[in-house]
Parts: sequence; C-alpha cells; structure tokens
Amino acid sequence: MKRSFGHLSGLSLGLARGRRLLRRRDHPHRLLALDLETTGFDASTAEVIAVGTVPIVDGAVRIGELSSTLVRPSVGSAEDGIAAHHLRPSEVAVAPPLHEVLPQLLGVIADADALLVHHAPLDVRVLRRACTAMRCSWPNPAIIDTVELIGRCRTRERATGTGRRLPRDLAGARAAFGLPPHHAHDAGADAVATAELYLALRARLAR
Amino acid sequence: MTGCDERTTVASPRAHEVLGPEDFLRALAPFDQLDDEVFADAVASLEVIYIPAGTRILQRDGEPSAYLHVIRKGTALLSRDGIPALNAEAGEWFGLPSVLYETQPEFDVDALDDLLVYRLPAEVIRRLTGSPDFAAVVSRGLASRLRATSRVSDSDGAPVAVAMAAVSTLVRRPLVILPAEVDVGEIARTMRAERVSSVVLSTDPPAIVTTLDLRDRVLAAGHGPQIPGSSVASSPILSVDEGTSITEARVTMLERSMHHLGVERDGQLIGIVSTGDLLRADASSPFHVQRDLATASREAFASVPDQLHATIAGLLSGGLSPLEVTRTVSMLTDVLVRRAMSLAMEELGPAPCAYAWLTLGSDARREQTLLSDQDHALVHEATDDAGAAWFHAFATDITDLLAVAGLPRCPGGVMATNWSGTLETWRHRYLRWITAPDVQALYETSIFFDHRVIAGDLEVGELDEVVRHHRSDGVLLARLAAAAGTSRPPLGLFHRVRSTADGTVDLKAGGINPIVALGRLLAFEAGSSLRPTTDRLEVAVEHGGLARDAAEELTEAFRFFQQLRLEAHQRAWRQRTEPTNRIVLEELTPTRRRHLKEAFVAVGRIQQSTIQRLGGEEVSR
Repeated sequence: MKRSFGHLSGLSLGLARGRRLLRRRDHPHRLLALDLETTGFDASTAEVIAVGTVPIVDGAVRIGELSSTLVRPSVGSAEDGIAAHHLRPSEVAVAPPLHEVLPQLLGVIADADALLVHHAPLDVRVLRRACTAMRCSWPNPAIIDTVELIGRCRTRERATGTGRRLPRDLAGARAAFGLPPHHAHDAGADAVATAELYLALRARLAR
Repeated sequence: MTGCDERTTVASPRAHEVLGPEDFLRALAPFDQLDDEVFADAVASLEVIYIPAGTRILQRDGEPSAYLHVIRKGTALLSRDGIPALNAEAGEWFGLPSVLYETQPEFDVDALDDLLVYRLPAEVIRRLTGSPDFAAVVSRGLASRLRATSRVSDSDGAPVAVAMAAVSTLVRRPLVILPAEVDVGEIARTMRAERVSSVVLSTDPPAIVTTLDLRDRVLAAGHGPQIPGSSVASSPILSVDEGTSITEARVTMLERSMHHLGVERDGQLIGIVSTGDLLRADASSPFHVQRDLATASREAFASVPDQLHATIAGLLSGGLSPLEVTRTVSMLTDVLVRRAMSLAMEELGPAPCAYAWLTLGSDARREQTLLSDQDHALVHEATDDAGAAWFHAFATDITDLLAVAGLPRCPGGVMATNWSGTLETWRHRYLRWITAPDVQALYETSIFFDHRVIAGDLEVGELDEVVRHHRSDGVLLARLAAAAGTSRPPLGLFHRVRSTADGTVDLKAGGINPIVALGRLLAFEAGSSLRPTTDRLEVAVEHGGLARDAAEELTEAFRFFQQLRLEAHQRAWRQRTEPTNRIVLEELTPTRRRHLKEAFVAVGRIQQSTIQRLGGEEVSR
C-alpha cells in the first residue's frame, strides 16, 4: 500500500520530538493520553468508533478531565468491528459522527506538550487521514509511544540480563508492572491505562 | 490502541472483574456513603500518580499533606523514628489526619515498592467532611483499618501493628451445604433458617447461590421456587487461601465486584466470607477486643494489658485522636468491669439488693488511659450485715480481678472495698464534702463528683442533685475555684517550663489535672452534670463562663497532653519499663517542646483568670 511521505514524516518527526522531551529530567508539563477504538487495524480503512483522552499534568493523571465518547462510523462499516469492542450497533448509531468530535479533539491535542499513545502509528495515521478528509489541520504534536518505551526497557533489560521480557501489549505490560486490570476496549479506560503504564515505564527507565 | 501487535497470552480481563479509578474509590468506605453529586465533585479533582519504591512521600513534622493518598497498588510504610508502625496497602490511605486538620504528618511515609496512588486534594477532603456522616465514617474507617491489626513481633520483640489479620478470622460458622439437586425454594428457606446470605451446593466443583442470585437470576428472570438451584448457581467459587490478609481479600472482592468470597484450607473450601463480614471486621477494631473481654475467663484477665496496649497502639498509629482513644479505653474498661462482676457473681450468687457500681474520676469522664488507677464505689439499698458482707466480698473480688488485668489499685484507697454504702450515706458524704472548709480536702473529694454508673439498677441521680442544688452558692463556687488552683502548670519565670532534676515534667499533674479541675468547676457553675472535660468546656462556653477561644485552647492542650501521655505509656509498654506520666523534655522534638510550653502557658493563663473571676484568690489567702 502506498502511503504519502508527509504522513510518515509527520509521525516520525512527532516521535523524534517526543523522544527529545523524554530526555529531559522532569516530566513534560502536560501530556495527553489518547486511545482510539477502531473497526480494524488497517490505518487506510479503519474507522474510529470511540475516542478517549486523559491529560497527565506534571506526572499526575487528571481523572477529572477524562473524556471519552463513542463515534458513529460512516454507513456500511463492518459490524464485526463494532462487535469486537463489545458495542452494540444501536449504541454507536446514536453517537456523534467524527466530524463533530474531531475539532475538539484536535484542540486538546494542540494544548498538550505531547500526545501519549500506546502503539502510536495506527492511531496517529487514522487521525491524520480523518484530518485530511475533513479539511482540518493536524497540530503536529510531539508523540510519545508507550510501545517504544517498552522496547527501550526490553533493550536495557536484555543488555543487563535482568527480568522477564516485558510484553508489548497494554494489558500484558500493565500486568508485568503489577498494575490492576482495566476495562480493555473502553477508550476512556484504555487512555487511563496507557497513562498509568507510561508513569510506570518512566519510573523504571529512570532507574 | 490495545493489542495491535504481539498479543501475549495474558488474558484480557472480563469487564465485570475490573474497576477504574473512579469505581475503585466509589467502592471504598466512606466514599460509598456520598451522594452521587458530591462524589462526582470529588472525582473532578481525582488524580493518579506513580511513586517509585524508596520515595519518602510524607515527612513527619514536615509540611501538612496536600493530598489524601489512596493506595491502588503497592505498599507504603508508616513509621516513626525509624520504627515501623503500620503498612498501608491497596485500598488503604494515609495522611488523613494531616489533611483534615492541616497539621504536620504524624508519621514518615515511604514507598516500600512502586505505588500506584489515587490522590484527592486536601481541600476537597475537608469539603467532603461537611457532607452528612462523612466525618464520622472517616474516623470509623480509620479505626477499622486497625481492627484488622494483629500483633507481630519484630526482631527486638517489640510488637508492631500490621494490617494483616487473616481472612480466616472472619469465618464464623461452618459452610451451609445443600445437595446439588435442591430447588431454589429450598435454598431460600435454608437461607432464612440459617440466617445466611449464601449457600453452597455440593456439585463438583462446589457452586454458590447468593441472595443476589435469587433476586437477579430467579425473581427478576421471571422464575418460581421450583427451578433447580444449580441453574442459578455460580461455579467455581472465587476463593482465597485462609492465610490471605483481610486487606487483600477486600481488594479481591472489590476488583471483581463480588459480594461473597470462598476461604480455602489446603484447597478445600472451609467457609464463605461476605462483604457484610468484611464491613463488620471493618467496624470492629475495639469490638474484637470488646467481645474477648466480655467472655474472658478469670485466667484470661492476665493477658488483658497486652491486648489493650495492642489495641491502643493500633488506634494511635492509625491517627485516631487521643480523646477517641481514651474514650475507647473507658468503653473497654466498662466491659472488663462488667465481666469481672459477672465472674464474681458466679462465685457469690446474686446481689442481696439493688445497687449501682460507680466508676469515678478519669474513667467516669471517659478519659481513661491504661495507667489510670481503679477508682470506684458502690451504692446499695439498705441491707443487713450479711448483705454488707456480700458487697464487700463482691468488691474485693472485682478489685483483685482488675488488678490482674493491669488496672493498678488506687493508692488513696478510693475503691468500692472501702467506699460503699446506702444512697442516704452517700448523700450525707456529698453534703459534708461540699460544705467542708478545707480547700485541699475539697479537691481530693472532687473525684467523687465525677461518677458514672456502669452496672446495677439503683437510681443515683440525686447525688448530682445534691451538687447542682448548691450551684448558686457563691462561697462554694469560690472554694471550688480555689481548689481548681491546687494543681498548676510547671512554669517558671519568663514562661520557662520547669522540669525536675532529672529533666522530666509530669503531664498529669501539670497539664491534665488543671484542665480537668477547670472543666469540673465550670460545669458546676453552669449546672451541668456532663462528665467529659471537653464537653464541660463546651457547656461553659454556652453558659458564658468561658470564652470560645479559651475553650478551644484548653481542648487542644488537653488533646496534646493526652497524646503525649498515651505515647509515653506505649513506649514504656514496648520497652517493658514502668509506665509513667512523666516525660523527658529533651526527648521531645523542638516543635513539640514549643507546643508543650505554649499549652502550659495557655492553661496557666486561663486557670488564673477563671479562679480570679470566681473569687478563688480570696479563699486561698
């Protein structure tokens, strides 16, 4: 599949800026943890059916500012994609469409010093594709990917020969840190879960 | 996005088994008591933080805690002077007293391992305490944490309170087991007869049916009593090993939203614990001890001191106010005395006539510490020599038993063995005392004015009436005021705290006694028969005898002195030395030394002005 150069460079530039942020001693002031639920794993076709965000301000996850919404996909989207998220088509049918949700979402992304996502490439590409389709401009945030941080932990722990390999999936990595189980496939809960995992990863990488 | 690469074998949890931050907090007492609106307001400020192992979170005598910390994962250690006091684990919090009263933390708090913590800003918690019952539930929640404390010994043999009582202690009865094929009607009747909220079906593996199942899976599903129990039962039964701590069990149930939890010994189900049992365990800290005391044998009285000290250690380390602690000690002392009485009656037979057992002094005021002497008296109906002999034997046996239980005999002999008589005898004694010209004698007999009936049917209210009758007697008031000046704070020139040659200060003689005497005096003036000192000060404010800020100063000073005393007694108990009311000034932190001085100064000032106002100075001269 052909992808535009712009999409790729936007993502990798964002990730590079996220890495630079993390090299600083203190936490970035304001991060936005984001989770999308989509109808599939192919960024060129997947549709957003739920969005969850929660800010992390100075290392504290602001549960009071947690926000999540279901999103109505365009007609004809695969019903099994919805079913995989334990959603009923009727629930999604009354949700706002993406073009209503997107401008506000881009606003909170722009307010943050960096966007925090578990496995950023998929979510970021899906959002950028939506921006293009809806003629919104992507705010080009710095991006921090918890999967990448897990990779750094694994590299380091392989080098020192310590511990068991940290799983890369959200639930598995959380369990490895002893973090409590969470409601997977609930965008808001996944965003909080990602935020908590990030704090645990930061603490481990700082050792 | 979850699970888009390298799915591992870790099963993703089922939705009903997990709790997000908001749900977790909601399920915790006392947050479960809040109205939805109030709770939502609190959640708006809820934050999650991650604290790496080894971090010092709160510093004793440092800044007041800006947050209430609720632990979601990991263990925090509360300690003092490097001595571990309590572990706080998932579902528990720390820093509450500091948050509520904006005071310096009483403990150092360290992360033993990495902590996932939910925190709420201090001002939000303080706002919540304005909501009905929250404050009361908060203190019960604290005490409850300590209820699950058991005594373990660290290396030097000093018992420390750790929240680790096993869940098996909550298993109170054998399993209620029914054959696999019974119908739900039979199950419901068994539940009613046995007064249980769940039964176990002898399927393989065993299955459980709860009252909730009867509601949700039978009635709400439109079924009648004839359907088989097995069709609504759950299997396997979620269980933990009997050695699991109550804290862990609570978290397991919370996380899975389960109301019943199986308890296993060597893999065999031995009992079911319900959320109700956990709540009772929560609400029980001193109640455990209370139950033990209420059924104690004569032989068991010897182990009472250790038991009481352990309870107090738990209450104190949980941050309970010293006045709550002394109230609890008084309550437990009542239970102990009543138990001693029934043991005595087993030997002596029933009382020959109606009587009232009075407890006197600090216990009557519910300000008992474990160092307080036995002070008590008997009032009985007119009786013959044999009856008088019975009461003497009764009092002797009780006094002996209480001495075994660690309550020292009153050196002044103010005990029912010496002080017994009919109501008429007592009325004359009271009259003699309050008209006696000698101020020192008045002070010494004032212990009888603080009495409280803890057993017996005889009505003794008229003793209070004797005193109340004289409340407008200015001469008596002046003499009582002079008596209140008998004991004064140990202050020297320039408000220096005067210590003895060995550098000690007597907290009881110099701090507690002056405040107690002031409270008694002011309650007398107000015509109140309330006993607790802080209540008396409150009444005096209402009545106009004491300024509001003076009452608050005295109350705070009283609380502070009691705190120092209780801590000193605890230390002595841990080190197996003789407990005392004297503290070594040099051993106090600079902050506390300053507080002590300020408290003494305030007490001295208010004592002086009150005595002057009531003419006590004239009498003394």
